[in-house]
Amino acid sequence: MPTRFPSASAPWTLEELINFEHLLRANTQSSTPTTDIPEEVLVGLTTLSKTNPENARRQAFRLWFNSKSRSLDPGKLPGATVVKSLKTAGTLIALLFFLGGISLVLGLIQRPENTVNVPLFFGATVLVQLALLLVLLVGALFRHTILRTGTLSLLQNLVRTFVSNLARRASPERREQSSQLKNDLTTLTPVLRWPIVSITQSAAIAFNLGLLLAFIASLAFTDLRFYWESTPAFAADSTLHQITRAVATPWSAWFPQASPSLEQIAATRFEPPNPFPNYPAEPWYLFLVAAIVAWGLIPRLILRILCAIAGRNALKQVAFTQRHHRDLWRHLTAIDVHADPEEPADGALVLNWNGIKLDPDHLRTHILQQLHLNPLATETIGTLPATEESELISSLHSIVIASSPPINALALVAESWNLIPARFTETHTQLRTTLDPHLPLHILLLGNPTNSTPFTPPSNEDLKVWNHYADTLKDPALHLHPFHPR
Amino acid sequence: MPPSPPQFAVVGRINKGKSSILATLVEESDNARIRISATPGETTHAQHIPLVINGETLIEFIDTPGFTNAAETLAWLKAHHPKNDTTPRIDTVRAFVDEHRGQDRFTDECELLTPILAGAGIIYIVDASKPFRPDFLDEMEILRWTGRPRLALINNLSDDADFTDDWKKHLGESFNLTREFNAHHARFPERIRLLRQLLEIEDDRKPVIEKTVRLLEDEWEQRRGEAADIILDLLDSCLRYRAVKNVAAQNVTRDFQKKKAAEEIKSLYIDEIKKREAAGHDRLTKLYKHNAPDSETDSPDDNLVDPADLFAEETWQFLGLTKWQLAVAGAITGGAAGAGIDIAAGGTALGIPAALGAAAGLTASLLKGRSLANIKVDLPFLPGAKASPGGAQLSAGPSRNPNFPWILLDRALSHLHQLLLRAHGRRDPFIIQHQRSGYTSKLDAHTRRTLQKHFHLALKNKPTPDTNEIFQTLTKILQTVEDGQPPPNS
Repeated sequence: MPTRFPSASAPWTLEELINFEHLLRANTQSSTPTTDIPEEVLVGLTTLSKTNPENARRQAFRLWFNSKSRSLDPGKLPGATVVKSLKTAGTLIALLFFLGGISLVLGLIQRPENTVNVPLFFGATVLVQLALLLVLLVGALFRHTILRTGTLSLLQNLVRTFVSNLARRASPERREQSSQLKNDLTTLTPVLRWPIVSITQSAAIAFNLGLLLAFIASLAFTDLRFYWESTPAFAADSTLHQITRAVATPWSAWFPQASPSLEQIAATRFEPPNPFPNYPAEPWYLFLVAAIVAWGLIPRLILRILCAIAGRNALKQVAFTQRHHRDLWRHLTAIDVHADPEEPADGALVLNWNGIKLDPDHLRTHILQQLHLNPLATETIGTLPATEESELISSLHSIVIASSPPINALALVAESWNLIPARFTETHTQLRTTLDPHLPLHILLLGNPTNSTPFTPPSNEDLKVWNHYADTLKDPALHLHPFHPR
Repeated sequence: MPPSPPQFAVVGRINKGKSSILATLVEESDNARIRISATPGETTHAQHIPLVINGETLIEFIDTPGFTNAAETLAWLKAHHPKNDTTPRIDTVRAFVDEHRGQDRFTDECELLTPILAGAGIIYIVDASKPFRPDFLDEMEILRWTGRPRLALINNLSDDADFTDDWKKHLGESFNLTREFNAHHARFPERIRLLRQLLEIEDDRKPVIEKTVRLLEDEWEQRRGEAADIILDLLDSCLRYRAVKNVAAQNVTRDFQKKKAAEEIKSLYIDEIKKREAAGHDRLTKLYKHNAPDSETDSPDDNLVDPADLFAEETWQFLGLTKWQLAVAGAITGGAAGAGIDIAAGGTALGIPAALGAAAGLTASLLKGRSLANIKVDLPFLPGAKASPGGAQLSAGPSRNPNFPWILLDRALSHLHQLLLRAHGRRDPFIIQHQRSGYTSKLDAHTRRTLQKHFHLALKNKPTPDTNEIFQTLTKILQTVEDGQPPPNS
């Protein structure tokens, strides 16, 4: 049964994003990256760009990912493993913190008297975690400054060293995979941040639940007595009362029993060497349970919910704007613009018959204008002894073959008054046997040279002679062009 | 069968820049594909030049040989089409071509009229640096006889003279539209404007011409993005580079050996940076479809900087940020580092580290200022330095001068600017000439801060968490380079 893939508009999941980064990096780093764009992506892009251009990139990448991952075994992609590892790590950390909460409460109950020092209990269970939360919130607020200035570099270095030491023990293949995964996850920091923060908040919830469970269980099975003590005089009963009232503000209106009165506070003051006050535990334990719930558990629950919302939003808004994303987007939406001019078919090999002294620039101009041909190479013929001449003409074949742009015609420049039929016929025969016999042969006939130029029109008499002679050659691809000044 | 693309024949007198205009319009720098030269008659046959976008020919231009025998052609047409003849005059033109095809005398006229008779629109080119003469009227009249839509383009091949107004007056009588287009100076906006003007003479092909313009604009935007990434790659690759070399211990025992080793590693660094910069510039050149620039070592103009040498003294004097801008950038970076310590100390340091950091950054920048590339060289020969028994590892780079990234950026922007200025129809030597004033010193403070942040991380070889911010910033800078003039001389 074929795998069902989410539609283009469906939000990404963390697992999919990790797999997407992995596939994209693998494709970029491959020695043979696939440059073809799957048909469904092309079709999708056309629709997307019209209906929702803002989300086009996110959705086009989804189509690309669907098409790429279809042919792969999901087990070979790292997304599921990372997500599972995160869940496992989260569960283990939560368990650890739950046990930590239990241990802390048990540690705060003084044996064998089974007494609880209220300020110490409150400080250890509530104040410390509140202070930690405050530090983390300040850290989150100044995140950019901290990252930019490298204030955490000591911590980072410690973590890096630890991870490197671990990595050194792994196989080279495993190390390579880990390094790739690290790169992929770095790109996903904005999205990955929330699941990680969620783990810390879940751990804090577990910690608070551990505190509550251990505390309530201790109350159920032990006769706990609560007290407070203070040496300085200023820490009078009324001061503690004010503090407890402030702490109990969230619940005092609807649960007044959990807010100790001034009398109750005074009655539980421990003043050595007097024995521990033997006052009913109720006001203090209700206060402490309510404090853990209100200042420990509830804020963490709220933060956990906020993390889940922020995580979901981050997945919805994932922007794909990093370097390799820009490359993929450019590849998917590339507009190929190019001119495709016809290849000029006017290339010619110019043959200077009998070595006429010709200025190359002038010769080129006249060949262009009179024969409508573009001189690509020039050779002098008709000046060597028969054997060498034959070799020279044979060598023309390689010039014609090697020419780019191609040579499509021969342009022979001759002086009309200098026709030696036997020699010319020989040359003509050699040209026709060496080169393509159908290659047009254009003969530009010049007249008598003057002192200033060899480019003069031929006389009518010479022209008649050449016309007559050309007929004898019986060459349909031979054309005579008398030079005429422009 | 898909409809055939709109065709436009580019016609005019011989050697008036028809091929140059087309090469500029379709960005073709290869002279083997569109031949351009000062020799009259370079275009010997009509050459079809389709503009292909995403595999589809959207517009086809036809380069034609110039008119060489217009007077005789018109005389023939008039002789064969008496005034009281009611048949369409285009039939007479067709008869002319049929009768003279293959004859030397009217080869060029037949070549240029054939595509028009097949339905191509007409783009008639004149050179406004030469005066109007009455014999041009023959060419205009022949084109009028074809009855096809006609746009006259005034090209200006030389700055010596300008007869544009005179031309406009005469062209207005024979053409549906007269516009100016300089084949040697037209940039992207002018090319797009010309394509839009084709709409005005070929209204029935509006959708396809509009589609062409839209796609060309989108492609140009993509190109700008790619150029920004190329420049980012160039900066990253140069700022993060350190030359490293291992030397045997016995080769660095004496002072002169140490000095020589230091010079060698420094020159290794400099050569590699130059290579990387050149590679980045080459990528830009290819992206904008230009041939590799010709090299010229002399800078004849006093306002220009030798482009070949990134490490030349004058490069470091004139490009990059000014002394005070560098000082502010240094103060910001130093202050931020100090602020980090403040935060770490929970604010108990009363902002003193931030103030000290800012002061240190400011002083360092003022001292290093616009001095030459001061390259950091690590030589583990000093007493106490750790060197393995087998030898020592020398390293050089990056430049300690805070202006280094700004100079690299200035040179990349200047290179790009010249690519944008260079019309593809030009076939004269392409010499890159950096002005003695860069772009970066004209950037606003916010933009400089964003760039400085990225440079700081790259110089420290730290990963950049978000490349999108600097990409967006650079894209905006490129837009101003496209729109604006070269930076004024300081």
